[in-house]
Amino acid sequence: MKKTLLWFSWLFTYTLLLSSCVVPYTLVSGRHVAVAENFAVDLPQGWRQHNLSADPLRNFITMLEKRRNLRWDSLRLTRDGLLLQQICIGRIPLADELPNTKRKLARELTSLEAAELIGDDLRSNTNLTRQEIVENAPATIGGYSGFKLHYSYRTDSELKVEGLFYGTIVGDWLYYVLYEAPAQHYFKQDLQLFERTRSSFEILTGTGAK
Amino acid sequence: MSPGRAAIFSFAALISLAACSSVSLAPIGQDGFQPEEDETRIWQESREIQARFDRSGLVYEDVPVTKYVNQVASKIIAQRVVKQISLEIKVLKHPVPNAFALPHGALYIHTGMLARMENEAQLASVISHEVVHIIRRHTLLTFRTVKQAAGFASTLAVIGAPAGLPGLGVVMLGSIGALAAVSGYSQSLEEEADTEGLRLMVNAGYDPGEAVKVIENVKRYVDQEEIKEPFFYSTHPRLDERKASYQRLVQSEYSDRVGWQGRQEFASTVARAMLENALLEMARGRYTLAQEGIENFLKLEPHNSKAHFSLAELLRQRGQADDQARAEAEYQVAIDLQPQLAEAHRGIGLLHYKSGRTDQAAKHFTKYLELNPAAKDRAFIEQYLREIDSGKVYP
Repeated sequence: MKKTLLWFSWLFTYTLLLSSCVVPYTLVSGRHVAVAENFAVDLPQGWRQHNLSADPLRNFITMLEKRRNLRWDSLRLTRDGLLLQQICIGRIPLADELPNTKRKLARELTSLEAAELIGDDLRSNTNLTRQEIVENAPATIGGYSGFKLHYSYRTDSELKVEGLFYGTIVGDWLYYVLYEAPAQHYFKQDLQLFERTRSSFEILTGTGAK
Repeated sequence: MSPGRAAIFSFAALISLAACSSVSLAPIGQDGFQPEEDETRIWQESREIQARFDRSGLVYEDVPVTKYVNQVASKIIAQRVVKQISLEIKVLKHPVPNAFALPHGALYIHTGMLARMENEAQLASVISHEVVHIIRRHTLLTFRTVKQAAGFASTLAVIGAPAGLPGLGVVMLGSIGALAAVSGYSQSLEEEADTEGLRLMVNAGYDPGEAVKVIENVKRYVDQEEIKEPFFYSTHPRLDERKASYQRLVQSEYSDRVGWQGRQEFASTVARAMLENALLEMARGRYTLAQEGIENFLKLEPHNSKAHFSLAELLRQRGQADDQARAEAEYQVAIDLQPQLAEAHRGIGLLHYKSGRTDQAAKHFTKYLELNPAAKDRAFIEQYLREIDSGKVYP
């Protein structure tokens, strides 16, 4: 009897582990409402969400982290793999230091100044080379006025990557929707899809001027 | 422990073996010198690393500064060495004080290192030390020792570059030799570089006492910034060891030697690299260091519009009490010195805009776009101009 009980408890635990098992990538679609992170967005059909904690490829994660700070991402999406294209959505607490410049964003910054800070941080990332700001323009994001930073850089394998960073400061956060892909072929390929995703981004509740 | 740091510690443990098992090699410059087979492969890889540096955008392309550091090197290096190996010095745009030599003869000095120097003798001491690593073939010695100790195959790329190396290390370095060149050799090889390096600079007529001062200056920076990266010039035990080693040598071997310092020559030529470094510090948000660098530069070149503009940018971005008023004054000085300096019009325009002085803001924004029609933030400035036109006031 004791042996049977033990066997059943082992089976129960094993089943529980299997059912709760998380995988590095999960297929996404539809409207994503992140109440805790205070945003909602339409997810692109056929794309996958990357789950950092479930990804066993630590070297790969390290490589991604050299390019940008992943810990502020609430969603990190890709279709063919994060090195080929990624859409990241998240928010940076204004109290946090930016990873490379150690500077902080602030409520009183204009969108242009906030964009400058994000641009400076990218330029100060010593894991990258030939960082360039292609354009820094005003933009609306989540219904709020913000900025669009178009940039490029080269990785350690000299691959040119292009990126778009849309950001807006609302309350104590900088909300962002970002797209990155290799400049050759891939960046243009999903640009329209990214813009549709970005247009669908909504900040649920906020303070400050829209 | 991160994989990068673990790699560095393993590497440090391996190269420390070089102290016990290194076999001396004939130095470059000796009659009949020819690189050995494995050395030729190391040099080949080292040339590839140099090519990557050259393509990276990290090299500071300032002809007078580059010419000057190479002239200092030519005073130190014997002709017989130059006949056998082509030595070239380049400056890298990097605020961390470091210098390193690749074994085939490429020597790099960071702008952050130049910024911590006061005279030519200090520059000579750094170059001399690095040149000894090349001449005494320390990379080859290290490579052979590590290979032997760890049973490595012929490949050079056995240790990945550590994550802690700021930027260029991670981007550029993959081999044992290159890693050693940047993060330091075994203690015995470093001591040899100190001893021989000091001899080279003294023979060239420089004041040996300056070698200690440059280490002290770097140490001050490392303390201030709490740097923990495993750069040779930036690690505490190594800096302390080197300072002690230099002090011992200066007192025992060169106590009666009074050499040349070359303060004026150094300052007038290297100042631009120091300003460049201050801008790198500013981009990293190290405002105090950046301000110190710009103000030191302005003491040498008080009528430099770029320096006044840079100081104004720093003050505008930092935004502490009184910074905005000082920034405005500095922008104005920059504009007075160089009325066509578009970025200064943009900066002062932003200050006026945020202070509600819309007429002045509009005047400078318009001038900025006129001087720089392809401005990357043109859309922003045009938006501000439209807002001013419609009577909207920030915020």
